[in-house]
This record gives sequence, structure tokens and C-alpha cells, in this order.
Amino acid sequence: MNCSDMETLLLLQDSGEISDAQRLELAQHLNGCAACLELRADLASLRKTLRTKSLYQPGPSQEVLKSIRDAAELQITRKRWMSARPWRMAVAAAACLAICLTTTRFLFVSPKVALEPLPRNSLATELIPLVAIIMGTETEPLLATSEDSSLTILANELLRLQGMTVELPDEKGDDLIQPGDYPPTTLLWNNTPESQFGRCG
Amino acid sequence: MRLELNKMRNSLVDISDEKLVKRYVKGDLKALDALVERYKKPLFSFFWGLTKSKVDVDELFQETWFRVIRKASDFEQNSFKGWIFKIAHNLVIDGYRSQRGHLSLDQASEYEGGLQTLGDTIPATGIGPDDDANNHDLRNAITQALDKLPSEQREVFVLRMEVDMSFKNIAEIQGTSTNTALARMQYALSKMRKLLKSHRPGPERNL
Repeated sequence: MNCSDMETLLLLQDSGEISDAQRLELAQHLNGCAACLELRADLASLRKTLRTKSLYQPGPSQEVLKSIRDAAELQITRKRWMSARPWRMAVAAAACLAICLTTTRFLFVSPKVALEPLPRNSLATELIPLVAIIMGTETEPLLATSEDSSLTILANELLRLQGMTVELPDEKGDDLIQPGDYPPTTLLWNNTPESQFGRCG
Repeated sequence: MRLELNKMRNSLVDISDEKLVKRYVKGDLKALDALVERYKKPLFSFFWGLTKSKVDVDELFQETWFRVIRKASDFEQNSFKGWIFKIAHNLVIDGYRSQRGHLSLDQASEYEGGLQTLGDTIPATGIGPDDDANNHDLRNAITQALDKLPSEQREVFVLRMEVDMSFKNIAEIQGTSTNTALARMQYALSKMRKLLKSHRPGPERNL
């Protein structure tokens, strides 16, 4: 084997990837080869210098190290959340839904809720027709029962004064009637383009 | 506080890289800190040896760790060192492909395969007897000599000499055979020895 082959063996010895047979062969060659001995010394010297004095001393900036740590922390948090048990996810989803529904209940009067029988002379029964008139907004049909309610009578009077037309529910078909023609038991608010109001018994 | 930090760091010193990755995946943030600390210098030197730009090195270093963090749970290899430097190698190659000329890997296109002898291509104004070598320490001289090597040879040299990686792992990272990695190292070493000849002042001191 020539010096070039021995150079390969020297490199493999340096990296710890040499076999016993190769090691023996190399040792025999080094006994009588000054050039290879010099190469081995140079290799050791270079390695020592680079291991003690890194090629680039300053290293990464503190900002970079911090961003790496932040990313690592975020990944752990995300993983913990994703690996949470299914029932915990279900509870969280249910809680979110409950909060949304409760909030919506107060912000908007849902048609289905409003159409449920309201307690007689309750505050809601009194106020809903009035608020609807004052706000002048269009919503889904709103039904408020309030027999003998003075506020409802007042609301109907306001409607009459504004000259609005009234559209009755199914049993009356599409016939238009004037406010005041029906007993003030219920106020119907329809969201037709003309924003009609009506009372029905 | 500082004492406690040092104590915690010391407790992780003897743990293998692979175990530290597993600990991090289980939620131990300090395990990742230990890994970053362990690979801070070699990884930074690896990028520095290949790109020579502080901005690039910072970006590449950061992106390497971001990828490690993202893929840590999928880590199933035997060697973390091989894995992280494979990521680093791919990032440098990607950077070269997307920003041709921006990273100094432009030499890769000039020395296809990186196996050619460079006797004719290396400028005569390298580190030599007439240089102001006395004003530079050996490390700076090595850095300058490295600049004159093709990227593949430079990468092999840095991975072997600075990172202490085996030729088998280097070959895996570069996607070549062990023999090719060895040949690249031989060329790099031969050239480095020539370039650093002036740093061999006496017979008792090498290089």
C-alpha cells in the first residue's frame, strides 16, 4: 500500500472507523514513513486547534436563542393541548357553545324563544313591543301575548298613529287590515319589506 | 438562581442527545436548552464555514432549530448529530438553490462533485510566507484557507474536524459514499496543509 492509501487509513483512524487489521497495517507503515508521520501530526494539530478555537467564536445572538426557546415552548403547549383527552375537548366545546348561546339570547331575541308563551304581564311582555317600535328594526316575526296590558294598548296606539298596515298570520291570509281592528292581546311583528305590524286575537 | 441553573444544566450533561430529544418531546424544555447549548458552536461553525455571512448564519441556525422542534416527535434515528446536520445541510442547499449567489455556496457549481484538484484554480495570493500571517492566529488562517476550498470539501472538513462526525455520517448527509467523503477530506486536507505551510515555524511545531 502506498502513502495515499495510508492517508485514508489515518483519516479513518482519526474518526474511529478503522478495523484492527487496518490499524496494524498503518502502524507498520508509520514506522518507516516520515511523510505520513508528518501528516498525522498536522492532522492532530488542526483538529486540536479547531476543537479549542471554534471557527466562528461569537455564536448565535441572544435574540436568535430566545426565539428558538419561545418556539420550543409554544410547540410543547400546542402538543399538550392537542393531546388532551377527548372528553376535555368536548367539555371545552360545550362550554363555548353555552357561552355563545347565552350571549346571543341577550343580544337578539330569537324568534323561537319569543314565540314561546310569555308570562302574563311580565316585564318582557310589556317591553318587547315598545322596544321594537322605538328601535324601528326588522326582525323575524315576534309574538308577545299581553292581554289587558296597558303598554300593549299604548303600542298599538302608536302603530295606529304611524298609519302602519297590519298583516295577520295564516288564518287571515294576505288580507291587510288596520291596527285597532283586533283586540290588543298580541302584537305581531313581521319582517316583510314594508315592515308591517299587526295585532291578532 | 444562577447556581440552580448550572446545577440543572450539569444534570443533563451526561444524557445522550437522543434521550434529550425524547425528554423534550415529553415536555421538558430544559432538555432542548441542553441540546441547543451542546450544538451551538459546531452548528454555528458549520454554517459559518459554508456561508460566511452573519445574517445567513443566524437565519440558518434559527431555522434548523425550528425544524428540529417541529419534527422532534417524529425523530426515530440513531444519531441526533447526523439528523440535525442533515437538516442544516439541506437548508444550506435550499438556500443556495433559492438565492443563487446570495450564499457563498456558488462555488458548488464551479467544482462539480468537489473532487477535482485545485492546484490550478487557487489564487497564488493565498496564505503564504509574504502574507501578514504574523498578525493572524492559526484559527483565522484556517478560516481563510477554508474559503479557498470547494463547498463539498469545505463541508466535509468542517464536519470532520470541528463537529467530529464520522465519515459514514458525513456521507449520509452529503448523499454520497463513504469513499467519496474520504476523498473529499483528503483533497481538503492536502490543500489546507499547503495553504497553512507558513504556520509551520519550527520542526518541533506542526502547522
